[in-house]
Amino acid sequence: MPHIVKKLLWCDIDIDTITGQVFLQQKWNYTWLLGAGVSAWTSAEKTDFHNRADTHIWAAWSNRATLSVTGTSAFALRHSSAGVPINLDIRRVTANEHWDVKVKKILPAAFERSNIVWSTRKINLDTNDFNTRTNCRGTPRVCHKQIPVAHEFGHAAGNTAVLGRGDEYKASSPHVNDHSSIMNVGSQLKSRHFQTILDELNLMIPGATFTVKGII
Amino acid sequence: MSKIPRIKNIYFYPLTVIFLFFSVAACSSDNTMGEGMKKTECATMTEVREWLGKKLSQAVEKLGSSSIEKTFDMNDVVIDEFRGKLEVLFPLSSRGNEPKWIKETSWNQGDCILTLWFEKQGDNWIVVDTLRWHKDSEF
Repeated sequence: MPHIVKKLLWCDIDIDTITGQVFLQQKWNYTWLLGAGVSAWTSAEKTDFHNRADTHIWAAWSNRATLSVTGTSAFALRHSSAGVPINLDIRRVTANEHWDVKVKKILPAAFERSNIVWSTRKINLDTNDFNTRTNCRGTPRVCHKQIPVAHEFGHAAGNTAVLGRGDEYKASSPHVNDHSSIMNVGSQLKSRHFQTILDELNLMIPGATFTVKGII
Repeated sequence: MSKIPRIKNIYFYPLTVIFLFFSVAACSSDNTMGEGMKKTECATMTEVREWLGKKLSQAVEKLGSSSIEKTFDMNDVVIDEFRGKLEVLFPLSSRGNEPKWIKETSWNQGDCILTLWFEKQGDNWIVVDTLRWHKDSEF
C-alpha cells in the first residue's frame, strides 16, 4: 500500500507511504470570460494562463513546508526524524472538477477583483492576477508584495472564513497586523496556513499525527 | 355542459386569481426596494455603475441606513483585493503623502452585499467605485 489517497470536495490528498511525500492537488475547470476591449481567448492563451497559475502556485506553496509526523504507526516511525515534504498544485480538467474557475481576460491597465466562494467552490480570477501587487502603508512606508493568484489559492487550500481562517487583513482577524503573511497582503507562508490540510491528514493514517515542522 | 368547461369554471379562475396576486406582490416588492436593491443574482461580482457619481445622501435615501460604514485614509490601511480598485483610481504615485479619505459603505441585500466607495468632493461624498458581491465571497 505505497499510497494513501483521500478525495475531498476541494482537493485530493496523496501520501506516499514510502517516501513520505504529501501531495495535494486541485482539479480546476475553467470558464473563459472577456473584459472590455480584449480579443477572444486563443487556445494558447488558455494553456498559458493555466501554466502560469500552476507555476505561481507551485512557487508560493510547494516545497516550502516540512511536516512533522508523530505516533505509533509504521509511517510515523519511518518519517518522524526527517519529517515529510508537502507539495500543492492544480490540474486543468474539463469535468469532475474540485473548483469552477472563471477567468476574465482584461486589458493590462484594467482591474478586476478576484475572489473565491468556499461553499460553492467557485474561483474568479483575471489575467492580471500574475502581476505582483505592492501594498504600502504607514510613515515611513512599509511595503509588502503579493501575487494575487497565490493568495486566492490560499483560500482554496482551506484558509477560509467558513473554517474561521479567512482573509487576515480584516480587522476581525487575529493576524491583522501580520502584513507579511500571504493571507494578509504579503507573500510569506505561516504554519497556520496548513491547518485545514493538517486536519485532513490527521484523519488519513491511524497512529500518525501531522504538524508543521518548519517553513522556508 | 361538458366536463372541460366545468373544470375551467371551478379551478381555472381561482388559480388565475392566485397567480395574479403573487405576480403583483412580487412586482410591488421589487419596486419598493429601489435602485440597487433589486434581488438580482450576485454569484458573479458586478459593478453597479449607475451609482457612480451619486452623493451619499442619495444612496441613503434610496437604500436606507447602511449595514457597515468605515471612513479611512488610504495611506493608513492595507489596500487589499477588495479595495484594489481604489489604488487604481488614486495611485500612491499621485496621492503621495497627502491623506486620501474614503468612505466605504455596505448594504446587506439578502445573500448579496452592495458596497459603495465615496470620495470627498467639496461638501459631498461622491461614489467613485461600486461592487455587488455574494456575502460568502473571500477576496
